[in-house]
Amino acid sequence: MRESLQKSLVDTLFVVAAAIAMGTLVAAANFVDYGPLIVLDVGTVIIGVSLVTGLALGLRTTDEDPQILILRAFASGLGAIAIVMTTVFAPILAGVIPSLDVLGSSGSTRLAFLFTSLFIVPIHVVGAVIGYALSDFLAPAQFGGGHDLTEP
Amino acid sequence: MTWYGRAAAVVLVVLAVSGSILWIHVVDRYVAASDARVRFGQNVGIAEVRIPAVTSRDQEVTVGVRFFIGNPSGIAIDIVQISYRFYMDNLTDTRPFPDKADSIFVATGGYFPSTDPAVVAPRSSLTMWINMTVRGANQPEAIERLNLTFNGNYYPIIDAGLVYRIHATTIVDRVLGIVFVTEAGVPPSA
Repeated sequence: MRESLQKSLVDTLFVVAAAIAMGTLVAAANFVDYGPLIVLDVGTVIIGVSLVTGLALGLRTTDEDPQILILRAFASGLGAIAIVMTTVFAPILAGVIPSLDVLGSSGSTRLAFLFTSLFIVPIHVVGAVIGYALSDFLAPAQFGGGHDLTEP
Repeated sequence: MTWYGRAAAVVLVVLAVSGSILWIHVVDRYVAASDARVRFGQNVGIAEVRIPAVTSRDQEVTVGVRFFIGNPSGIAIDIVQISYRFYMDNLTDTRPFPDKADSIFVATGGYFPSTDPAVVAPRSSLTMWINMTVRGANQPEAIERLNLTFNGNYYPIIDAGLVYRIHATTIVDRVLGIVFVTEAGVPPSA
């Protein structure tokens, strides 16, 4: 009971970590006008980070059904989108402006942020499935994987 | 846990931590810049105008306009340019300003730094004298309009605009309608 709870907590922690990694990096890439520490390309970040975090999430999942992994990947992808949208509305949440209209940025700009960040979910899910397949392949044969450790 | 499980966990944590550092920096600047853009316009004005007495028609007159620029936000602001149109009100002309603007216009002045613009540090202010010169020999109409006093006082009207950049970003914005109007008049400076 305690072990399963601990495992669930650790899995949740990594789902949150994946969401944070994707959301924060995509948001930072979207706000290149504000002098970020590193200038990142939005497209590269969305594809690269979503895929890498998906792979990592999949590689960690060795002894569970793939649908659980898909659900986790969906959850972390949605979490990442939530972080991107929170970033867009950060000045309102911080209480410094009443509306984003005062900054002169159009609604279509914000919709573009949302639309591009939506691509996180499918790419992340694909990455997770590839990671799951990789972990299955790398697992020793005696544990049902394709990696036969007994071979010379 | 397998070696690739550990490696995957390390990758996730590294990405999450580095992403968080970048994100905190960007959000901090985004919020500060938004705050600056909303409040900066209310903290810019003309504090003082100095006009020397005009004694001859071919005199070279340097008019001083002192701008007050306050930055209440948490991010520095670069002053890219300040420009103004200087009018000398004719109190006998009772038409509204837009109707008589052309007939009382004197000259333009401004601050146009090609490099190293003035920087207003976070939560601080600065004042800038931005002079305008009217050369009587070349601008006889302008010096005539400038040399208009009522009860010994000048009644200048200034309409200024300011362009600024949020420091270390590419966010450029402007403040229009920085107006100076006086009812008491401005005595000629020494």
